[in-house]
Amino acid sequence: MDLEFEVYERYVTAILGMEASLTNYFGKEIHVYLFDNPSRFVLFLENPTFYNIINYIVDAYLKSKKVTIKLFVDEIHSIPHLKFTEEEKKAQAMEASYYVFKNETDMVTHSWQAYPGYTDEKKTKFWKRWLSKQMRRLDFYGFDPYYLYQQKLYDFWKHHEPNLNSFLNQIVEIRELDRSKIEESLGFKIK
Amino acid sequence: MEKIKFAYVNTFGFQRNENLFVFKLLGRDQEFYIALDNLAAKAWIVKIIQCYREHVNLSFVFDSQFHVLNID
Repeated sequence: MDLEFEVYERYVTAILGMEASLTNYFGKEIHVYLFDNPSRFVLFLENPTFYNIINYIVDAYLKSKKVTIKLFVDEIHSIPHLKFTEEEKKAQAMEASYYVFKNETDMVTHSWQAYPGYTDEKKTKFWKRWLSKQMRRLDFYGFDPYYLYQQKLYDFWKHHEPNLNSFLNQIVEIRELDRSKIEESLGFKIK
Repeated sequence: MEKIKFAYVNTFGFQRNENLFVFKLLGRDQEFYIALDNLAAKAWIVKIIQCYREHVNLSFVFDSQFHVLNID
């Protein structure tokens, strides 16, 4: 299904960091208001180009310049004229994915604290859900979803799950993922 | 001059009329300010947003009117 994006060129009238406690990850989002538009647009913290977008809109606000932003419904997706090399995109995907696995995972039905007590069946569900979710997210933001598989995040996962390769291999089978792309991105074999 | 060590940013926004960036630290009701014409404003604002996103500890130095003098 093709997603419908819109590109707006406007002045930024406000940027707000919504109040949230330390433990309320999902309460935290940045609202951006544009001139002549009553809606607020949300910049999510897990956007892989989060800091590029922040730098751009803060700079535009301070200099009273118009911004050109790409939107998906009420979400700020990206800045169309900002181009990145594949190496830069790989680093951005890594940073955003690490952020999600370090923070967001603990805020829903699963948590790293409870993880060691899971049955193997529940662990499989955990990996199936979170790997798929983050791959879809990277794809949505225009990133190769296989950029999820990188050494730093692999090491983080491995810290929580010593038997990680076994679960990764299961997910490759269940989701029919491209094992060679995972291994190419990781730089080593998982089987 | 006041110094607050190891604080997290809880909320922030701009006040165009006052030419200010305003933010609050977690657990404090006090508002703190950065004048938008300060040469360091953009760098400090981005640091504050990074603190908001990632819970990075920051140390703040303020004057008696709660305007930022430095952020580490």
